[in-house]
Amino acid sequence: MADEKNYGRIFDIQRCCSGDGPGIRTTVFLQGCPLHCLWCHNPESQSFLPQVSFRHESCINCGKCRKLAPGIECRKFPEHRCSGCGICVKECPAGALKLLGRKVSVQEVIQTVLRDKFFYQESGGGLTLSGGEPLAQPEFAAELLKTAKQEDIHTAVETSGAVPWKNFAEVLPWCDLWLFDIKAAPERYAELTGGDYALVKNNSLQLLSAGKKVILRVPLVCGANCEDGLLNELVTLSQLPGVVNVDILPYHDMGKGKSTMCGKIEPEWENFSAPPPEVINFWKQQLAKA
Amino acid sequence: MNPVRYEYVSKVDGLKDWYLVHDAGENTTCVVWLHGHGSHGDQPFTRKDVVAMLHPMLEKYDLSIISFNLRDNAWMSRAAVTDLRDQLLECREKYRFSRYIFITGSMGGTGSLIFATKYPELVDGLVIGGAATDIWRYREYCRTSTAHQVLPELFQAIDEHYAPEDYESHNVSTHFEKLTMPIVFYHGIDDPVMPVSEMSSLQEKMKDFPNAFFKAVPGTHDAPLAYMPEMFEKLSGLRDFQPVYKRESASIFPGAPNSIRKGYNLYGYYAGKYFEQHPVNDTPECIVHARALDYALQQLPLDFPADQLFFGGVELFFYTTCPDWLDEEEYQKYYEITVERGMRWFRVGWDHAAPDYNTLMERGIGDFIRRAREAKEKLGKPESEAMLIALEAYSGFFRRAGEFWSKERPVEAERLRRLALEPPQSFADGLQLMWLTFVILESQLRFHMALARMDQYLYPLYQRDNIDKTAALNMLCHVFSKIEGFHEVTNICIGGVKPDGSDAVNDLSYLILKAVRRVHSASTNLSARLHNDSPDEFVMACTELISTGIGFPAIMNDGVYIPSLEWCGIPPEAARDYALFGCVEGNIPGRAPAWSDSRFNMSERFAEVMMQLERFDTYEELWNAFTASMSDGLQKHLEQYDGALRFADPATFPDPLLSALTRDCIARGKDMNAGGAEFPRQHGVGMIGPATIADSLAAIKKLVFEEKRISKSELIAALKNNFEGFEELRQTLINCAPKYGNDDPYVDNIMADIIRTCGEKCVNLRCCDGGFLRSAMGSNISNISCGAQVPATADGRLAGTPVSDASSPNGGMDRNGPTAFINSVITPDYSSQNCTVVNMRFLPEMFQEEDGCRKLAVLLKRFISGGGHEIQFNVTNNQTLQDALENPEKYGDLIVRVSGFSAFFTRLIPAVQQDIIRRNAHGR
Repeated sequence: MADEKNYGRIFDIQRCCSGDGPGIRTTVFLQGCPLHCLWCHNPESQSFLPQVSFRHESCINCGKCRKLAPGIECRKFPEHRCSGCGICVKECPAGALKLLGRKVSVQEVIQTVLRDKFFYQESGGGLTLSGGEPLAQPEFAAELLKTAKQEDIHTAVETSGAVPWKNFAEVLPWCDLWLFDIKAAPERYAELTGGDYALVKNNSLQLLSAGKKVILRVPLVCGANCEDGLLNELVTLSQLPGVVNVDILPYHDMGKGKSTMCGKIEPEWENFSAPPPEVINFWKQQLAKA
Repeated sequence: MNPVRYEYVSKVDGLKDWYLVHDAGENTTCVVWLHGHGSHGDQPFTRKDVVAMLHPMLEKYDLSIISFNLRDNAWMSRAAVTDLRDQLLECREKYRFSRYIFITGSMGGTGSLIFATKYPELVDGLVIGGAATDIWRYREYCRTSTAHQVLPELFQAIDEHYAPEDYESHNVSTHFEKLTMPIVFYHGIDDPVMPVSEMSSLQEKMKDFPNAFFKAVPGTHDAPLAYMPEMFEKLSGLRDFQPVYKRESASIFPGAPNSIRKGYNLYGYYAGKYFEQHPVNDTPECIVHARALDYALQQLPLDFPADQLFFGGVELFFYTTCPDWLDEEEYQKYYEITVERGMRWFRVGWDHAAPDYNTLMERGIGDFIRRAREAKEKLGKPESEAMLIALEAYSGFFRRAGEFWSKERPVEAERLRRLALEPPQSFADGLQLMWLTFVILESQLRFHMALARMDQYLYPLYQRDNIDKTAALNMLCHVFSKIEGFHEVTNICIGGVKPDGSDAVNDLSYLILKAVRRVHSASTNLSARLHNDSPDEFVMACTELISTGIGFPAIMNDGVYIPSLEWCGIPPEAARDYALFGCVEGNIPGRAPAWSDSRFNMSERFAEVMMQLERFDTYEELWNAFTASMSDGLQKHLEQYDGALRFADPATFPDPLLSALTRDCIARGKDMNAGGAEFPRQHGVGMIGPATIADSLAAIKKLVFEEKRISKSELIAALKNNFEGFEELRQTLINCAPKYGNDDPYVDNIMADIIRTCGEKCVNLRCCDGGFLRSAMGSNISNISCGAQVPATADGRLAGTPVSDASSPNGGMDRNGPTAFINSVITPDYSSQNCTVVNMRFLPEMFQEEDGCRKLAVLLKRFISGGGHEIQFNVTNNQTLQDALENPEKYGDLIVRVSGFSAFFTRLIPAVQQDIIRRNAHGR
């Protein structure tokens, strides 16, 4: 359907990013994710439905938003009450509301992406799709990447890998670089993320055998996935041909503030922390030797 | 231990040579061993007492070691120096050692010291167990002393291996300044082979070097060997040496520059005395002025310390406390006479200038005097005579300085005497001429004089001199450390293009970057001129200095500055030779009247127009009313300025010295302010708060005229009440309208319109002396004082608070990241402006990533190719700044970029400190 190709739901576009691929990049964050990792850095991105986040410090209590919609329920879970119309966001004088999962067209996104074209060219940068899980909207993702390639822009996709292979296949021709997350050890994957590791592993192998450039990424969370099982799996994977590098991303707790804004608090987060530098160095050393 | 033997061939003369290497692994520290006389490269593996001392140490500290056979002798001849350098470089590549620590003794020690003065960058530390430090003196000792039977043999060997010229070039005691690495040097007290005085004489010379440690130990020639492990440990405790360039005491004045120094200016005293004795009469004022200068320069007490490399500094004429021979009341009286009669002032052209350094360097002061004499003969005008008197006084001061220093510093004294008339011959000559000229001009109560394009006019001297980079850097550091004492904004310009349009970057450009970094002064206002073909290496060197947060260099775009100057009728070749003055003002050094400027509070005018909002049915009507009010205001501004210029008639307020040093005043026989200068005056009109106006107009256009979300009457009521009772409306203005700095054409185009209008409105405004009124947006810190006069504005700004600074986006309003920021600020066409300032702020985290500097270079590239004008950077986070506010004693050294200049953060007035904290910091 033309709609799925030309429109999609995103929750943010960040310009001049680093860390989501080489050079200066614009990262488009697609809404919705099949996983529910306990430590998720972008918890607001998991739902496939629109929702409105609220920044308490900015609110001036003018009450305008209350008059517009069925009520304050409009900005709390369950999200299914939000239609994504965005009116309350526009009307808020204080800029305290933000619409997540808004519907946008490919054209609209690409227009923003194109504004930094000079910077991509000079720095070896480009466009990165992230989220949420960008491959959960495969037609939209494919169309974004295809349009970017037509404009001679380098493309990258950051994925959890927890989607059917056909979603990969749709996007494959237009992605220059894959940033593939390995979230947990095989035996713990379902428990920590809600996903199926066999699917993820299979996808990674198919991706590599298709000759694609892959960087494996590991969000390392002490108190969650920081275990030998994960390290061993990574060492194995890193030796496969086509794997350019393994990036360790130590946990940070930016997610907590964002969740409060969406009305979610995860009690487990109290147990999570960034792994100490010695641990990170050890993992890096082990992966370098492989 | 099983060292590996590596054989190589000398690139100097094809000699086959070798070394032994024990490689303890990548990134290890490598000991470099140079054997002594009569030994070979295997010494550290075969001589029993060496092995006993050394091997446990190598194991304990996990050291690698290379022992060089080095031509099978211990003489650091030229060929040996070259061979050693080549091999050390190769070994660094091959084995990836992290550092080279030379551990040597006897003739090996001598050689390693010599090598360290030649290639200090290859020597990370020196452990010396006895050495000869003056090779000629040691040769003489060996020739004449009978203290040991090996001495005659040593004399033969030295005589054979050192050519006559080597005795000077290989002399450690004259080149000790290069020994900036940590050194531990022990010597046996009763050593008959090398007397202990060889060590102690070097110790005396290096007593101010905090990282050089000397000790005489009991015993004879081999005594230090046993101490080597102790010496090695001591070495590790010493840090990398930063030469201590004495900075002047800081107490002169607090806060931002532009405030007059509090103290005693002796030029003011003596000149005033002369003026009092010569009241105004028939003698042309320019001649009286020149004679007053002559009198003051002859009377000025010379009390300059002998430990300085170059003569001159603020202490030459300025005292912070009243000297006891000076009567306070008398000082006040004469000083005020000078202020009243003996000087012009900034507004009408007096400082923020530079003399014709190009010609001074090429032809010397004598050439100016010769031309002035000829002009006096030919034209017979009093201005000509005045210029000649002034030049002779200026020249005479060099001679006087030379005589003063003749006993204590004969070399420098001879230089000064020579420079009184002759052109400089060496790099040191050039620096001395530049510096003392600067000091003399500043002594005349001028502020913020510039050093202009140092890397251009000093370069021929640097090249011809064939001077070593470290020595040149050292000299630059000495001069720059003197700048701090003036506590001004002393502009130094590097890079850009030459008059023929080709790129101008050279070795000096890089050395100046290094010197500014080392000296860490807030006053060395370094400006880097960039263009579309600037060398990548130069751009990266600039980003590296910027990343330290010192605020230098500011970046200037030749692609805008040059057309902006051509706009005044300056021909392209001259425009390409522009320099910056004060903060960011563009002018041609030594060829135009001094820069001056004034403030035009256009935000206040805009606020007045806004109050009449009810009259306008469309946005266009509002805009037209604003531009009409600009024309009105600028006309009045010009009238006021002309009044000042007329009052400052050059016949009453002449400037013979700077005129003499500005083309073409001598040839024309005219004062620089009376049409003598080659190019016309530029007077800058500082337009205050353009981004505040842009954001306000965008808000009105969108919310009032287009969306009709706010009514005109509502807005006016809110502004009149300073938003009291109108918080929701104020928030709407802030959050629901586009802001400049976010790559939104809606408001970026409005800003472009404002800048274009400012330029257009000045285009036909000529001063009464034929000069130009130039639009400028480098408001210094006036956005604060001008903001105090401006009521609430439609961007949501409260009454009396600062308006936007210079031509930057409003503080904190740029929220779309660095690329969006750059896209916004390159939107306007700045070529109608003499100068503008864009302040950008980064978090230090951005430069902790390895490609942080490369990213900044890409941003700069876009800035330059897209037609940006000027940009400068702060690299701080708010925690640091807040901490500095609470604990200033911990942050005495913190320098931040304010606006067009840098300053020590803790010395700024609170309003300026807050202004900086408000600025949004990019990068995560």
